[in-house]
Amino acid sequence: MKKLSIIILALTLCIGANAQDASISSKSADNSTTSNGFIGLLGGYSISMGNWTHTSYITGDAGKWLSDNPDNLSAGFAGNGSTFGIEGAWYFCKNVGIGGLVSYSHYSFNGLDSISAGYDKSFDVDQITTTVSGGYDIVNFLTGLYLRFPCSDKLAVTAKLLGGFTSATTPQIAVAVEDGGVEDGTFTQQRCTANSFGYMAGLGVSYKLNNWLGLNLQGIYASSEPDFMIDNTNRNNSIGRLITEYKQPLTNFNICLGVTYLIGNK
Amino acid sequence: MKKKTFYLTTGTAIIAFAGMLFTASSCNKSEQVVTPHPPANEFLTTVVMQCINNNAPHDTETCIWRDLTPSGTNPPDTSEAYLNLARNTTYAVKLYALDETKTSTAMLADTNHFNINNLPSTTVDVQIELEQRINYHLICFTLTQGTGVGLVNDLNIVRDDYDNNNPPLQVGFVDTFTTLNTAVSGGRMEVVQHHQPNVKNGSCEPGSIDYDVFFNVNVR
Repeated sequence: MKKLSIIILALTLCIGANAQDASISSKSADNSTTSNGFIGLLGGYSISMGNWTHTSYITGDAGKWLSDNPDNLSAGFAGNGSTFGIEGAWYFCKNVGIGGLVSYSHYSFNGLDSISAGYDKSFDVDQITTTVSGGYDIVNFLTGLYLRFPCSDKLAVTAKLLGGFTSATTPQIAVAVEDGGVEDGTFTQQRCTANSFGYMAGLGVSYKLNNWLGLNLQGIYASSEPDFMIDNTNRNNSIGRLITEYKQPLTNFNICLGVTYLIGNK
Repeated sequence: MKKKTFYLTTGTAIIAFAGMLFTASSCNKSEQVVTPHPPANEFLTTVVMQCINNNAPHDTETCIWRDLTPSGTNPPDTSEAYLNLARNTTYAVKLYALDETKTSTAMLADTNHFNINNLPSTTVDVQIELEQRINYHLICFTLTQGTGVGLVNDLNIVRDDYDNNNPPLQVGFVDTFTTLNTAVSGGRMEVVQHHQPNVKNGSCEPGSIDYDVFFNVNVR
């Protein structure tokens, strides 16, 4: 049923886009060309959104981390980051195409001071040293529908709706405990990778520099929800923050610039 | 026109690749923060051990170890750090830790009138907080051979309380003392509270020490 809906939507858009394009062509007196597809690079700034950006460390009596508090369990300490990728599409109708994107995004860890102070409060010790390595990494392999709505012979509004495979990795958090001049060991929340379905919706403008080269500016909303089963090593009690499973939407908004090589001008 | 195209393409490509390089270079970076403990609001000046005879609850023995200058300026007050136990008797024992730094001399806890439910307002019951943190505290007792048959042979100590670790580990704030039906004995009992964040394993070795106090014990 979903597939049928997508096909109908694609055909409708195809017809609509063709009609719009015909209208523009009739108004335009020049011999502008339209490419059959493109392949390009894109990169930009990625803003993390939602629960995984929260930095909650809520404690109860005597600094005990509340293991049943929803804010504690959903906080992911994700900061903003950057993204880059390669994408391509083939327009099987005049302005409707199918294509794909492979992208890699990296997000910093946000709230390191907060988590470290939280552990210090929970363990009531002289010093906590918290080290975060890796940050969040997300790799997308997505395919889907590409649309373009020409505004002039060089400028077009573009849109895309993609879905597919997403692989994400959490940061490593190592906490060293020291009290009374004694090292009480280091426990570690290990990096964890999980896969899930991911989707992406983008809207942008593209500018054709010449018959084979174009530039684009895109705003892309993306999300996935992997189920991370996290290993914690050398963890001997459950007083401080202890996350063994994390399943929250890894939602982000990306502002990307891209360079495209236009294929098959017609 | 060609020049403009060249600059636009090059500029965009540089921005895109700069993003790529930034992303790639930031992947393996580690961030570290060191959080020192904030200044403590409470001191641990006084340790009270209360022993209640299981067969005669009115028979309650209390001993107190006190050091009102935690910095070590003055020696601890051990004038009430004596415990007299009866032979062949089982005692339910409870340990209390207090902060009496703001308590006047007249209001300090004493062995004859100690009641944990009736402390002066200036005395802080630190034990409440300690019991909320049982998962990384452990009380260890060490008996020193003394007079008579010796305390080591005459007193059996069992910790009765357990923490919430998995598996649960002993704590020692609540204990059972059992004296044997032997001759009179005496000796010294060392009571140490170990602070074992992330290293508690049931043994006394790991971690640091919150307090280390002595009581003189007589069994007669």
